[in-house]
Amino acid sequence: MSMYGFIWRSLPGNWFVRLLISLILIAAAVFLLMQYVFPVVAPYMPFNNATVTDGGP
Amino acid sequence: MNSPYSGDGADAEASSRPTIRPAQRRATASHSQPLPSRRELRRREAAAASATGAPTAVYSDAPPIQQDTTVSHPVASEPQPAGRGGDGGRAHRSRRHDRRPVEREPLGPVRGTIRTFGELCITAGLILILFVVWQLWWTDIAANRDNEVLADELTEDWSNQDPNQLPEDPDEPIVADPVGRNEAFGIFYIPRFGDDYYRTVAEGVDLEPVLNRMGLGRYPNSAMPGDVGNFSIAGHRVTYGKPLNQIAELRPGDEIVVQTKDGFYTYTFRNFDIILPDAVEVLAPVPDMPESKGKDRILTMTACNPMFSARERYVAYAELTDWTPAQEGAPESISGSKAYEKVSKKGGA
Repeated sequence: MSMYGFIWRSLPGNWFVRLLISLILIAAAVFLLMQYVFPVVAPYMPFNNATVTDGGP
Repeated sequence: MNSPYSGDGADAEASSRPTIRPAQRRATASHSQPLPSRRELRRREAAAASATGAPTAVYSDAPPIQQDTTVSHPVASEPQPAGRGGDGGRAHRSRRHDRRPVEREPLGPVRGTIRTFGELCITAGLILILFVVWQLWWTDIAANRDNEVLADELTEDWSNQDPNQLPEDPDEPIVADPVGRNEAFGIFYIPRFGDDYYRTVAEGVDLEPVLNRMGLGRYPNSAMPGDVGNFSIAGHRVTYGKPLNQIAELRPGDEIVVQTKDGFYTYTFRNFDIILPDAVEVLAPVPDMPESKGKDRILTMTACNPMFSARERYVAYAELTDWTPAQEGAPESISGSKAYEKVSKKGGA
């Protein structure tokens, strides 16, 4: 059983409704990533440091 | 909504997609007549397909399962309502005209695991691509928007406040009042970075919220604009609106104008240096000479170097060369620029 296959089969309605719901789910995932996940991860990336410090963050 | 595998849901399912119960079908068929071999099924499939002009080969994970056993084996009876069986057969035949592949059996545990793993890998790759898009494209858009909003708020604040008393000596600049942490207090104009370049400057050099959303950040404990000593700021060179993206384009003599509530401080770029990230002595009142007291009014700007790396820092030094009180309007170097026009049209400092 594949993951996306399982999700697809779990969605209600006919294929059009399922497609609509899947697109909404994808949009929600992208929004959550961009709004909450990436800002937390970004400070660990190597190109975001502009300050001179003596060892601190 | 019911599960599609139970009750009414199953009926709805059957009309949109044929339900297969291979084991059951084989069992009922074997009572009357042996099930046709797989090769025989393929041959029939091909014959039917070629009759309608469809491609002959049917590829699938699972062996194709003949749907319309009711047609090829009229004796085989399904334990289900007659109407529904007939519907299934018709649906299947029209489906074949649509050239849809034969319905697949569920994957086994091994194949299912492998496929899920593959899907997870693809998902991880897509998330990484999305992260790069977010970092290189979206943070710039968000930070530029924040910069405009913040600059408007700032100039509006200034227009509602009385400027400080002018000092006795007209050559002596007013020293800007210190502000709270993460609070904006000025706007930078650097004509070398573009006619429309302006960035707000706030107190503190934390990534959030100052450097990521408020433009430039002042090192705490460094001098305020106009003060004797080192007014030190940091800014992103890439991403988050990249306020210091072109820091390496500065040439000696370039003007950097800092607008505050009190007026316009014009710093003139002198020289640059490339240092290691822990070289805090560049922030000293006399850069690189932490022991000296200094009597000049210095501006030091730091950004990462090379771009997209944290290996080094690029430092640009400038010195205060001119000062204009707010009442007298912007100095000539920026008064005609798009940036100043845009900032001043709202509040008007």
